[in-house]
Amino acid sequence: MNTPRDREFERRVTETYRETPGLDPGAKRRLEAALAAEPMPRRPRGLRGLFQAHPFEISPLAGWSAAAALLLAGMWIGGGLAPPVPPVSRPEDGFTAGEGVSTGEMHLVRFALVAPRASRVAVVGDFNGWDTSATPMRRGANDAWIASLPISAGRHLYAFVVDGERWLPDPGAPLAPEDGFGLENSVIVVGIEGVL
Amino acid sequence: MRNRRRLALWTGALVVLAFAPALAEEARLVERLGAETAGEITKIVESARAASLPTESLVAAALEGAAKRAPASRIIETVRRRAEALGQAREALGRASTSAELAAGAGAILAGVPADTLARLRAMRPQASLVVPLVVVADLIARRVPETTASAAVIQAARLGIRDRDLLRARERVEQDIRAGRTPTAAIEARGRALGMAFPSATDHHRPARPNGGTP
Repeated sequence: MNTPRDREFERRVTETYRETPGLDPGAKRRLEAALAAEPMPRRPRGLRGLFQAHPFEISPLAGWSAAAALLLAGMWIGGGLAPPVPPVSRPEDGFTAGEGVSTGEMHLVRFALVAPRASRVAVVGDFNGWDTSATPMRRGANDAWIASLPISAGRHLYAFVVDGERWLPDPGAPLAPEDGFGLENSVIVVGIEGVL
Repeated sequence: MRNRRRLALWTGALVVLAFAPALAEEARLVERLGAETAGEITKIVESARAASLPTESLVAAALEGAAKRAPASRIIETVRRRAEALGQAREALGRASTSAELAAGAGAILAGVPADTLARLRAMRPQASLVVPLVVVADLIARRVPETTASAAVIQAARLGIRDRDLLRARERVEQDIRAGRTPTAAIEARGRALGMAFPSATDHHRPARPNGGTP
């Protein structure tokens, strides 16, 4: 196990350590003095400050609190703790002023349907190419199924598809005339002053 | 020589950019409807485009039919009827109308609203959007309010300067009243009167139409 080659290696390592100069007794003091003399880096002001990393200290309690707050926020956004919402579809980001319709504008619209016995619900309309798999809704509080999506300003037709086969108009929205396919659609007008 | 090549490249790129949306639209129709039906729909859409009508609602109608698994003949017929209604709506509402107004106007015409009602609404609100009144009149008819009563209500709303927001609220209340058991006519008359509209009394419904055929 301990071959002459190993012993030679051991000897050379030991000698190397013996040759290493000992720590200067004043070194620690000098290092502390140098650190004390070094000015603290200044936090850059203005926009540059936004793009530079800043070291900061945080206590374990504050760290855990911040982590818990982030987790709660995530659950809230994910719908786990979503507050009760009225089961009515409506634009979420307010209304644009004026009566004219600018078809280029996008507005976030929240669709909602109360369907306690549904296992899946999708909102389908001209804004998603009437694709039944494009916009699945998530179950929120009080059996309300919710989906929010950006929609261009204008008049849009839509319906809900429950469990992949049952088409329902939105009970809280205006009806469109019979669509030629034997089923009723709802209408939402987006981006016009005071609408819905 | 180099300039010519560059010009040709730019022209080619512009042509591709100009036709890309139409090609994508056609590809989507083919994917959802099959080549034959998509071809028929594309002809109607191209014809509407040539007449400067907005075509989004036509493509949407075809996709809607596909999603609802309607037969091809029904889809083609529905798209054709919608294209005709768009043309009538533009004639009644004017060339300056927005595509949302034309789509709403076509919806109202398909619900049974005469083009004359659309023209009267435009005359009363030449600058403001007519989307909401047109959506409301179509909704009222879908809820079994007689067309003459529904048209009279939105024309009066325009004449009285009722805001779109209030008109929509009234529509919502009419819907609630109908659900509660009121007849559609009684519901719209009650809610309309609350906004200052006047409707002929119940006995007036049996009177002969006025010589000029006007609505209140």
